[in-house]
Amino acid sequence: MSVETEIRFRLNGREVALKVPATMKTLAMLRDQLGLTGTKYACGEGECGACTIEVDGRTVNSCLMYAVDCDGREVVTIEGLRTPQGLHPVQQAFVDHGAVQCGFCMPGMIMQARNLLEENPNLTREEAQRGLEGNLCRCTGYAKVLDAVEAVAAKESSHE
Amino acid sequence: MSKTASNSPIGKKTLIGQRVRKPDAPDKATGKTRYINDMVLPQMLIGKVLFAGRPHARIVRIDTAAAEKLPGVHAVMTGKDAAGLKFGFVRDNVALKDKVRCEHDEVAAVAAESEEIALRALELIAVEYEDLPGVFTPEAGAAEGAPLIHDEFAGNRSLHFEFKHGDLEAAEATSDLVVDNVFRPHHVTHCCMGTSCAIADFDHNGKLTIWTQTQYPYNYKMDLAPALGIGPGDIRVIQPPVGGAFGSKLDVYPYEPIAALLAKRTGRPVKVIYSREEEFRASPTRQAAIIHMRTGCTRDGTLTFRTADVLLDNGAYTSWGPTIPVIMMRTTSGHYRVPVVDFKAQAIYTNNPYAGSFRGYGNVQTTWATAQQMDMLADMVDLDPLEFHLKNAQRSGEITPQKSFLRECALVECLEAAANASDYSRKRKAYAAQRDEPGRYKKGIGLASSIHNAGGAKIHKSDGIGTILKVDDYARVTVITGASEIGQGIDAVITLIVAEELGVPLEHVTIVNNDSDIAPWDVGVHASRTTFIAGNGTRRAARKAKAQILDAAAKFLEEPAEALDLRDGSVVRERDGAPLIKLDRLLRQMHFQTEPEVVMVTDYYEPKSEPEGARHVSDHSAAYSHAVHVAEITVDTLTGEIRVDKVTVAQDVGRVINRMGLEGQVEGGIAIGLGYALSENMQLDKGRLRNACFRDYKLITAPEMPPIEMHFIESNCAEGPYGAKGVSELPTIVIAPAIANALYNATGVRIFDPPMTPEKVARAIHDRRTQATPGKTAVLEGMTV
Amino acid sequence: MKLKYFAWLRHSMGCDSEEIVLPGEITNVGMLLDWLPTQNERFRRAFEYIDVVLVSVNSRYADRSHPVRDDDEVLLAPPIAGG
Repeated sequence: MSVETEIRFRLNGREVALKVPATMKTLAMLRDQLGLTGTKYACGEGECGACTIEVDGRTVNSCLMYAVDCDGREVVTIEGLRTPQGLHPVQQAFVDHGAVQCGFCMPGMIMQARNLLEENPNLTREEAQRGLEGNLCRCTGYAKVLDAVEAVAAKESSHE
Repeated sequence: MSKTASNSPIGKKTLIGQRVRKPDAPDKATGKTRYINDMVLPQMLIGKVLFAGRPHARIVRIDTAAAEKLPGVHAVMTGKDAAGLKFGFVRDNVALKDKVRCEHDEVAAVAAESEEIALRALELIAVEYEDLPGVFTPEAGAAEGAPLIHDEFAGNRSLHFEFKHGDLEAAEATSDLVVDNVFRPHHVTHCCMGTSCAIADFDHNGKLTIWTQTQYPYNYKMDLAPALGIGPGDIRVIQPPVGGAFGSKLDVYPYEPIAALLAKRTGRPVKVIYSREEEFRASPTRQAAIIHMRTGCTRDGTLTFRTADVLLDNGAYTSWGPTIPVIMMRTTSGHYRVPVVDFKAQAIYTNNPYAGSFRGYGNVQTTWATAQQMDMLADMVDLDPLEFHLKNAQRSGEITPQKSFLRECALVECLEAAANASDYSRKRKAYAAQRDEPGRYKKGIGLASSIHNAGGAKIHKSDGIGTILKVDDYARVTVITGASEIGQGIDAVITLIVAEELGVPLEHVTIVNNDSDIAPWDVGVHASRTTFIAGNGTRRAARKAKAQILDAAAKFLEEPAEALDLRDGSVVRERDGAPLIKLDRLLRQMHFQTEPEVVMVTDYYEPKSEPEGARHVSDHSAAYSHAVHVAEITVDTLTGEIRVDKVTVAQDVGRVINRMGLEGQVEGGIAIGLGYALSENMQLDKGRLRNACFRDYKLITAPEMPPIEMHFIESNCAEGPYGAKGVSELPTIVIAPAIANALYNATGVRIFDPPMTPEKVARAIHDRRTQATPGKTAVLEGMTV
Repeated sequence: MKLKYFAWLRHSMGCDSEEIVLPGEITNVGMLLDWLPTQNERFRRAFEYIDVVLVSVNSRYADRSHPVRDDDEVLLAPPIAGG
């Protein structure tokens, strides 16, 4: 028997209202209630970053956050990045630089990388490494992830 | 109606060696890809497994009554439901156990309407165990009077392998120097980001459809069938996108037949999926081994013999781990020119978790030993290791004692490229001279190499692949291939090859490869074979299609077919690139003529290689290749931390096909090898895993990855597609001993038991410093040099 | 003829090896593989998929055309799928 609460929040730019059990984590709400399976379960304990989303402009491990805590907030998931015009520049850079292999960690990796770049458009490779330390990848060795992030930073700085 | 498109000539361009995007990358980057872990089917139930949680026990009683009564529970199954359904390479396993032989033995399973209900049902299953004394090392398992783990395997003896070549006594007599060490490559695990998952569903005819993460879909049917008591022909294997595999999905593991048994019982699709903790505890490991290796050489640095006496911790059941000696012996006999070889390996059952295949498959463990012994011998004969390696390196055309034919061998080129690019010899001398000087941080440089299969491995009668290719009326190509895509990028390679041969855009190629009812046979993703085998298969099929198209074009255009080519969506005159007719137009003309002709071709490609037989002598791969790594490190002698500053790689890839994909495989392979070398370790305590989470099992993270400088040596393999060889395991195989050799260069210590954690390194440095004789190698745990 | 079994064939056959008398008309591996499953129920069930089994005659890999004699030692090994 689980207590359910009604919550309202903005999800990928749209208002959303639903009832969630008090014990449900945001990750489960996104995947099971809202059908947004881009955000992944890979450990469930905040150690791997595969469940990374953005809440009120900060990245969080959605597996550690209660769904009810989304109430009143601005939530962005991987599905919210692309536009009808195409991929988000970070997503496109990951594709162009070969940063995606099995891809399972990529939604979390991209959400974190995008957030790092928004905070600091002149992100260096070393700063990107530090910032992505909490996103585990078993396929790529991170090298092309960092190439992609560097490329986006370089583009942004060339616009300044 | 004009037949020509534009008038400008189309020059010959090639995609071989270019950077090609992975076709599924956009969907993966946008979160659109539905992995097996994300799948939901109508009416689907969730299956969960009750694991024993103890290493060795009799199951006295299981009471499932309370679990069965829980609302939402559709089935509870135990060992009696799988009795007699033995599976596995030696048929020592069943889906649900009659006896507990390791911590992750599956004692019961539940199918319920939600994961929450299934987990609650597991809690309601009451099991009474009688704990039995366990064995947790192969030595203990082999000892007189040791508890028997399987009644059928006396003395807990599992598989054994042997290979001998030449007169060992004579070789020992001619040796001036011998190194004799024991290495203990350890238990690590794959840590695929997508946890283990299978979905099973039976149709009304008793045919099973199983959605699985398998990387060998066809032989998987033969291996799964006995676990269910059905015929392999009644199994349809569907492979959704997966979150990694790395060899872990080359066998059938109990959760898969469990999903099927639950599906059969309930009449509904059942999805079994592991939590991360279950993944750590219950998925296969890399094979742990105790390798007693001896290598000899003469005073001038010529190798005389190499012996290896290997004891394998079989774990509770026999999967592919204990079969690694088949590859271990190839390295023992073929890593450099070794005139005399004596190899033996024995696997012993224990109550530990058991090993499957893992990228590198026995060569990681063996090269850990051979590459360090090469380095040690070089030191002892006072030769620069580079010179020592060059002196013993094989050249093209040589044949190893096991008859591996090194038709195109680029070991020398790789050694020179890596050593020159990294300034290895000068730095090595300089750092060695600094070893005993004061200073907390010491730099070191280490070189290691290995040899591995690069053209498949004929451990099957057929190591081949089927390809079906069609080109439609709009010049869109579909390739139906047996090659499985597990994230390694064969989709990009296939797309590239089709675009190259048929002159169509990459985006106009579709690959179908994930349904055993549709796609033709392939042995599977292993032995670094897929680029070679699937690349050849795709090229052959594409060329058949091209020949058919150009023959038809020749008739319509009244030009000889040999004078034509396909470029950029058009049929052109080969000589000057003049476009003659658009390809899609031609295809429609072919189709809608009086006697229609549609382009549909098939191909089955079997590489030229030979099964090795009981004596383990044959040219069992269509190609072999080498890689050399030079690792540059800084060692904090106070904390023992090793920071890898740079890795220089020289690898014989035959020919670069997709440059971007190739780099990704090297970088990713090195990351796995780095974890193996420095930080990953399954801490097993009397059969129980103590660190079943990412917090305590340390993977390499982004800040720890060094810059990697890659030199791809193109030896132009005559048998490979465009000259290419397989690539993906060598990066994992070579990096760890390169770092071990760098550690020795920096500090004078050697570690034979990976991982080289800060604690081990610090202690070894301390022990060396406090020893009587400075300049002597300190080695952990009482090994002798 | 001594038949030796490897891996799951040992389980299916119920032993590691056994002696059989090779009929005079069986002269190569192919004929042997066709004949073995007809011997009795135990052989039939174990060799249902005999074509995937790798055969070594006197320790050398042998294809269907390889000759066999009654004094040969024949090893039958299922494929190792992992690698």
